[in-house]
Amino acid sequence: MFLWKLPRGYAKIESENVRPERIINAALVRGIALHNIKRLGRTSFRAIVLLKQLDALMELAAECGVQIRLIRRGGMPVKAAALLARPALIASVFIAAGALAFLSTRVLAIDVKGWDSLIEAEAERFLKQNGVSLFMPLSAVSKSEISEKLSAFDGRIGSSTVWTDGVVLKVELHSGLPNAAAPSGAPSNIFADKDCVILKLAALEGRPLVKAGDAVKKGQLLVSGNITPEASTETLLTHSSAEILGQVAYRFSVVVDRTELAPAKSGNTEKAIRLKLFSFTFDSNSAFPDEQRTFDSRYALTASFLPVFVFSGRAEELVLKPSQRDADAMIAEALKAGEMLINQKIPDGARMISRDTELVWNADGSLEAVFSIQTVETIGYTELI
Amino acid sequence: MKVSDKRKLKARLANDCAAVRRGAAVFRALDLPENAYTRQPCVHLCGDSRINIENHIGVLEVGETIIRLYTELGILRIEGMGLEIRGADGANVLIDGNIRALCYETRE
Repeated sequence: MFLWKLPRGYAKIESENVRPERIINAALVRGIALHNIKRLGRTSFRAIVLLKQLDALMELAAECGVQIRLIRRGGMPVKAAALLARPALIASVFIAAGALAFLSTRVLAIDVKGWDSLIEAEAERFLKQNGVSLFMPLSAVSKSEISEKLSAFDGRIGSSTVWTDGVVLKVELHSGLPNAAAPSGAPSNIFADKDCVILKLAALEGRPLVKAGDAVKKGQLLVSGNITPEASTETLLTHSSAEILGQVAYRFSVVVDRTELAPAKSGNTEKAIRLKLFSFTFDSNSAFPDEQRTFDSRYALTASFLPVFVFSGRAEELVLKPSQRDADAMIAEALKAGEMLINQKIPDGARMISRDTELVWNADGSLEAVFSIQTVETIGYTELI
Repeated sequence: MKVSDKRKLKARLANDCAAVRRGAAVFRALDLPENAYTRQPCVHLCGDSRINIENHIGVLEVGETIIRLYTELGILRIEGMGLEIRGADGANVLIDGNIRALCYETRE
C-alpha cells in the first residue's frame, strides 16, 4: 500500500460526523477511493485519500455538512513541490553534479609504489617536474611515455608499470639492479663490484683467484671461467658461479650550514576567504606568492541543504629570510640527512656490522657529520667471456 | 448525498438490472458463473487476516471489532479484532485484521 501511495501523493484526513459511514458511502459513490479507514471513536474516523481526490472529498464533505480535517500531506508530488520552492538547493545539486562530472575526467591522486620509500619519493618528484600532477586531464596522461622516462631517469629503476584506476594514476617501479647470476652455461668471469675484504668465497663453478681474507679492489677478477684441466695444455672456457661474501666499508659526510633561509612573515596581510564542501576546499586568490592563512570566523550557508561552510580570516605574506639555526636543530638535520644517504647507498641485502657517527664543527659555524659503516654483503658481478 | 448523486445511483442500478436480464441468457448458455452478470457479492478470504469483498453496495458500520457491509444478498457481517478497511472504492472493499467470523445477517 505504501509504495503506490508514495509516487502518487496522499493526504491523511480525519472526519467528525454523527454517522461516519455516511461520508464513506458518499465518497465511494462519487468514485473517491479511501484507504486505511480506522475508527477512532463513536463519531470520528481516520483515512487516507489520494492527493488528486482530496479536493473532491473536501467538496463532498462541505455538501454533506461533515467536518474533515487535513492531518498531513505526503508523497513525492508534495516533496517535489517543496524542492522546487528552493532554487538554491536545486542549483547546488546541479553544480555538484557538474563538478563531479568534471572531476571524474581528472587525475585526483597519484600512487607510486616502489621497493623503498626513497625511490618512491624521487619518482614522485620526477613526475611532478615532468608535468604529471594532480588535476591534470586523464586523457593527457601518456602511460608509455611516463614509463620510458622513469626507466631513463634512474638506473636503479629497471622498468615501471603505469596505469589509471578510475581517477587514480598508479605507478609501480621494478628494480633493475644487476645481480651476480648470468645465463647458466655461458662462459663467464666474476669481478668485484666494490672495494672490500673477502670473508667467504665458495666457488661452485670456475677457478677462484682470491681467498678469504684478501683485500680486493673494484673491478678485480675474483673467479675466472678460463681453466686449464690437469695433464692438459688445452684451455677451456666455462661458466663461473660462486657465493662471495665481503666486508665493505662505507664513509659518508653531510654538511649543514648555520644560517638557513626560512619563511618568515613580512608584515603584509590581506583578507582571506575559504569555502569548504565535504573535503573539498576552495580558497580565494591571493597576491602573495607564499602565505600563511589564519581563519577566525566560520558560518554555514543554510540556503542550500549541502554542508557548505565559509571561513573568513587573514592571509599573511611569507618571505624567505636568513635565520640562524640552533645546534640541536643542526645535529638533527645532519643525522636525518645521513640516514637518507645510508638508505640510498647501502644495498638492501647488506648486513650492517658496525656504525660510527662523528660530528665536526667547522670554523664558519657549519656542522659536518661523518658516518662510517661496515657491512657484510654479497660481492661480485658476472661478465660473459 | 446530493440529489444528482442519488439519481445517478438509481440510474446505475436500473441499467445494471436491465443489462443483467439481457446478458443472463447469454452467460447461462456459455456456462459462465452467476456473479459474472449479477451483482452478487464475491468474498475472498486469505487465512484469517485479509478479506476482499467485491460487489458491495455500501458500508453500514465500521469499527475495530465489527464491520458490516450492505450487499445484494443482505448485510454481510465481519467480526474480529483490530479490523481496518485497507482500501475501499465503489465496488470493492479490502479488510485487514484478525478475522474471527463472517456471516450474512438477513437474506432477502
